[in-house]
Amino acid sequence: MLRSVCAGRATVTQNNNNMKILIVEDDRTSQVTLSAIVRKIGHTFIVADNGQRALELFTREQPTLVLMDVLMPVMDGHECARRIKQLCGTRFVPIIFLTGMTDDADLAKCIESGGDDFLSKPYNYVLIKAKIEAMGRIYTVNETVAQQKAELERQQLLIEQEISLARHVFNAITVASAKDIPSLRYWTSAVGSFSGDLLVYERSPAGQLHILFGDFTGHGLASAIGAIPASDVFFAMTKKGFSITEIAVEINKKLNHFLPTGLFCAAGLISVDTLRQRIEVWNGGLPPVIAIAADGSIVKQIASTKLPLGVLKNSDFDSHTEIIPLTDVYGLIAYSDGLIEAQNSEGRMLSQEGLEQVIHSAAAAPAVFNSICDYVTDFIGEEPPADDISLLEIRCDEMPAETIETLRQNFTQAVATHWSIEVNVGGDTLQKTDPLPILMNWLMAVKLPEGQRTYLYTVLTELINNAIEHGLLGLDSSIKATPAGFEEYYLQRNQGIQRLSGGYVVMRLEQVPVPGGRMIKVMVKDSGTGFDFHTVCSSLAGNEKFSGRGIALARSLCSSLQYKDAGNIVEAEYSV
Amino acid sequence: MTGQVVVSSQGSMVTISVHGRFDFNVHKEFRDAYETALKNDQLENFVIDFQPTEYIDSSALGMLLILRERIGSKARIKLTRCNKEIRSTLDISNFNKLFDIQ
Repeated sequence: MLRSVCAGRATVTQNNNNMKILIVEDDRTSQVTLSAIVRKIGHTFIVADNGQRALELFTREQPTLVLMDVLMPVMDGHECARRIKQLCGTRFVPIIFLTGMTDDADLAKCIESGGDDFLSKPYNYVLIKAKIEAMGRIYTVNETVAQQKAELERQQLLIEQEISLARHVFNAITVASAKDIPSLRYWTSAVGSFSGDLLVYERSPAGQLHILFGDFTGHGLASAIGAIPASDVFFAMTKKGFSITEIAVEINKKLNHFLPTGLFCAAGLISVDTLRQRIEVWNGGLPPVIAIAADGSIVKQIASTKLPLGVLKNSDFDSHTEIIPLTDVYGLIAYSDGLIEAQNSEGRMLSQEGLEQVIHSAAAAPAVFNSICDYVTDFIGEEPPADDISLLEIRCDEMPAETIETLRQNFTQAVATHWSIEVNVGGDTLQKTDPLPILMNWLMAVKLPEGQRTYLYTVLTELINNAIEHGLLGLDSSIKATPAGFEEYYLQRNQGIQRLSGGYVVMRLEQVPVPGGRMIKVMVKDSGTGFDFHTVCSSLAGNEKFSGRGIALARSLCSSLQYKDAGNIVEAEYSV
Repeated sequence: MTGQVVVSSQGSMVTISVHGRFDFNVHKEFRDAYETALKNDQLENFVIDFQPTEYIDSSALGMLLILRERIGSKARIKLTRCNKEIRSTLDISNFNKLFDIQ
C-alpha cells in the first residue's frame, strides 16, 4: 500500500524551463504563431485543433499548462476547460484562455469554466511570456503542497500502524490476567484510540491477589514498550510467590534500564491477602489509593511516597510498602491522574477534593464505583479529554472455598518434595560473608512460598545469630538487660566478628514429606563450647528482658526446637 | 503566548520559564533553551520559574528528568513559584526527592 502512495508523487520542476504547453487552437496561423512564441521562451509544445483532441492529448501527454482558444469545432474551449479541470482533480494545471473578445461577461465566463487567466489577440510576446511564467510559479507551489500532503499522509499511515501495534500489544498483555477474579471493576476512557493505562492482576501461589495498575508516560507505542517488560516481570514473579516489594524492585530495574530518561511508569502495586487479612500497597506516582469501608466512608488514603517506576537506579530505589489491616475495608479505589485532572467546559478540574465528595455522597460502598463513573462522565460533558482516565475498584472479598482448595493442591504439587542443603562457614569467612542469603535463595529456588520463607527467615536468623554470638564469640546475653547494655552487646558483636579467625558454623536444612504436607528439619551447629540453654530458654510470656526472646520466638514458630549436647547444636522442625 | 519558552540569565544563574501549557509541544524549545544556558561556564544555579505555567503533564516531568541528567553536578536545579495543581503533580510523583522545589 505504501508503494502506490510513493509512485503517485510527481517530480517538481525546479525552474520554469521545462514546461510542456498544450496549445488548443483551430486556426492554423494562430497555431504557428503561438508555437513559435512558446519555443522562443524555451518550452516544449503540443497542438490540438479542437477540444476533443485536446482531451486526448492532455491525458496522454500530461502537459503543465494549457493555452485554450474559445471558439472551436467539435468541442469549444469552455467545455474543454471544464473537462480538463475535472480530469486534474486536486492537481493544478493552469489554463490560459486565448480570446479576441473584450466583453466583460465573456471574459468572466472563461474564468467560470475553469480558466485561470486570458490572453487577447493580437499575441504579444512579452505578455505571453510573463503570464506563462506567473502560472508556472503557481504550478510549482501547488506541486510542492501536493507532495507535502502526500508525505503527511504517508507519515499518518505509519503512525496509525504504530498505534495499531501498541493496541495489539496492550491487549495481549491484559488478556494474560487471571480470569477468575470477580472482585475487580475497571473503567477506562482513552484520549486516542486506546488507553495507555495498564492493569494486570494475578494470584500468587499463597493466595494473595496481586495487582499492577500503571500509567506510563506518553501514549501509543511509547507506553506499550514499557508495558511489556513490566507485565512480564509481574506475572512471572507473582506466580513464583514473590512479594510486591520484590516485584517493585525488579520492574523498576527493568524500566530504568530499557526506557530512556524521561519515560517512566507512575504505578501502584497492590497485594490483597484475605487469608492473612492484610492489604499491602506500593504507590509511586499515582494519586492516593483510597480504602473505603462498607458504609462508603473513607478509611484511609495511601498516598504516593515514592518516585515512579523506572526513574531511579536500583541502588536508590525505595521498595517499602504500606500495610493496612483488611478488617473494616470493603475495597480499594485507585485511579490515574487523568481522572482528577479532568476538566469541565469552564476549565475547572475535577480535583482530589471533588472525588472525595463523590465518595462521601455515595449511599454505600457498592455504589461508589458507579457514582464516580457517572459523575466524571457528567463533569466532562462534551469536553474532549486531555488524558486517559482510569478507575479501578478492588473489592476485598473472601476467596471462594474452591479457590483455596485449588491453591492448596497446586502448592503441594508445585513444591519440591525432598531436598537438603548444608552450608559450612569458617570464622574467617563469617567476617566477610553472611550465610543467610544463601539459604534464603535456596528456599526461593525450591519454591517455598513467600509467607513460609518469612517465618523460616526469622527462625534461621535467631538460631544462626545465637550460634555466632554465644558459640563462636562467647558473648554474654545478660549484658542486654539494659538499653545501654544492648548497645554495648552489639558493639562487642561487631568487633568480635571482625576478629574471628577460627571456628565454624554448620547450617543444614532438609525437607521431607510427612502425612498431610511437608516438614523442614533445621540443624545448626557451632564449634563453640555451648551455653546453659536450660536457663536461657524461658517462655515468651512474661519475658521483659532484652535477651532470650530470640530463641523463644524461634521456638514458637516451629513445631519443635531442641538444644543438644553442650548447647552448640540445635535441631528444629518447621511444618510447611 | 502559550508554549513560549523564555530564558534569562544573570551571572551564574539562569532562569527558564514555559508559558501556558508545559507539554510535549515545547520539547524542542525547552531543550534549545537549556542547551544554550549550559554553554555558560559560570553557571551554578538553574531555576525553572513556573509562575507563567498553567499546566504540566507527564511529558514535562520527563523533560525535567532529562534536564537533571544533562546538568549532572554542574549546577543546582530549583523549581520555583508553582501553582497548587502543578505543586500537587510534582508531589505525587515525589519529584521533591530529586529537585529543590520552592
